[in-house]
Amino acid sequence: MTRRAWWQRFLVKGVFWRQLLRWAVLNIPAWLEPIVIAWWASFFLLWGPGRRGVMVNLTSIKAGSWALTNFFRTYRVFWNYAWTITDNARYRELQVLPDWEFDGFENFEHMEHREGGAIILTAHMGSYDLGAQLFSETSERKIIMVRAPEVDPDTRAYEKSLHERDAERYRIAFNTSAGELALDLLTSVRNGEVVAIQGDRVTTGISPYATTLFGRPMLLPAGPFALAMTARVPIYPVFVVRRGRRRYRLVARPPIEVVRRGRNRDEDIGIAVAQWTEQLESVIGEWWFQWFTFEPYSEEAA
Amino acid sequence: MKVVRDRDEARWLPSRHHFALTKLVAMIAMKRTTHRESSLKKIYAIERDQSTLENYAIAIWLYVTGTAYLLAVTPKFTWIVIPWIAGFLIHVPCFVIGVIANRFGAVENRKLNGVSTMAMYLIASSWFATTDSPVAVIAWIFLGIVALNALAAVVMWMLRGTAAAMERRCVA
Repeated sequence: MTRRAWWQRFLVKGVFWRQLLRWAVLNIPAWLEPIVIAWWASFFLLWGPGRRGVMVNLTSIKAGSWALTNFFRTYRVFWNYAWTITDNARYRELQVLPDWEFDGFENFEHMEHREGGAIILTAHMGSYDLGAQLFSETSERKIIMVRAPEVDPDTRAYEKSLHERDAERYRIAFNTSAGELALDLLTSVRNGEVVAIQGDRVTTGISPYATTLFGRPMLLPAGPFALAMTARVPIYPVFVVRRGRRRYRLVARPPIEVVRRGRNRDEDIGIAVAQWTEQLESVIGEWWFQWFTFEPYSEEAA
Repeated sequence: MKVVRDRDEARWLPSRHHFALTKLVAMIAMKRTTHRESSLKKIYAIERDQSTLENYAIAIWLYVTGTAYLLAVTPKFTWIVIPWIAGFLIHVPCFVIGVIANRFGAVENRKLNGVSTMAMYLIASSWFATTDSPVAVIAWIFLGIVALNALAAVVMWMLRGTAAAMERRCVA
């Protein structure tokens, strides 16, 4: 194994920034945070690929928008992202919860009281981690969060060490090997556990499903829908939206049933995917400043 | 950590505020707040830095004061970048003090950095207040707010029983 260059930890996805965030949460007074976050959000605007990725996505979400306006909108996305990861680190280090609001609580209760497992499908919005922590504290069920592993090996090891501390409350499964993970998740759902998956991005090795979002072609993970069909459980679209400083809203939408209707499995999955993209469009359209997708979601747009 | 469910007035609890002046304002606001029915279920966290209004107000106040002091001591040709540089310089002392404290084994230094930052602002304000420059007004405003906060601390100490009763009613 080759030794990694010392400076790689300072790359945008390097471990240095995770460690700095943890350090800042433990050392910066809360009333200085707005200044600190405003400054660092402007600093990260220098990150060209991330900035351009958000701007490209915004041209699809806000059809006909100007590049200059989208530049300032990108700052808003970075600002919200900075607050979100700070709130998440604060919860991990100091166990400080934000304020919560529940929208569609009846859907959340429906999931809680039904027999058998369930699948939560969410997006890279607000704080996925904080939402899982809230769920683990308010629900009797065990939650398994599926997420893509970090690209940087040091960051991956750092994140893994943090998640090990939370292992009692919820489990994290990394989708590195799609086949093994699918079987593992199927067993969990059949055992009555809740599996949370981010359904707005396809990573390497994950089987995709072609669809459109805001009129542009994109690939969504087919896994959650195939899992729901096999396990015969509904998919609950849940979004965690940041409403202000240390204030979040958990938006739970009515469940999506993935039913096998005929011989063509893909067609049946397509019906559920269409319902999911409709939900995604409505939520991202309203809270575009919290869709933390830093690469163009559509190859066509890129 | 304590939480309050579905009670809007909880957002004004003095225990969700940090400084005496804002605790006092929050107490008055809480007395005037009536419970509103909402279809949203809510959870309010009881933590002393939870108030948005307080934290943004203090951050803006410190930013404006710090930027004004920097503008007063820097040449005019640098003024265009001073607002951005000020945002960084204001939190640099926290890095320095935090790293030194870490060396002595202290992991969590928010209080130490809070006290140090306010002490530095007090020293700078005391100096700028004695000068003839226009920034003296900002320095006097800073010193005035600090004095008002000290006064509010005395009032809050006198009202500690009332504040505790409000907390009990809401948190119970």
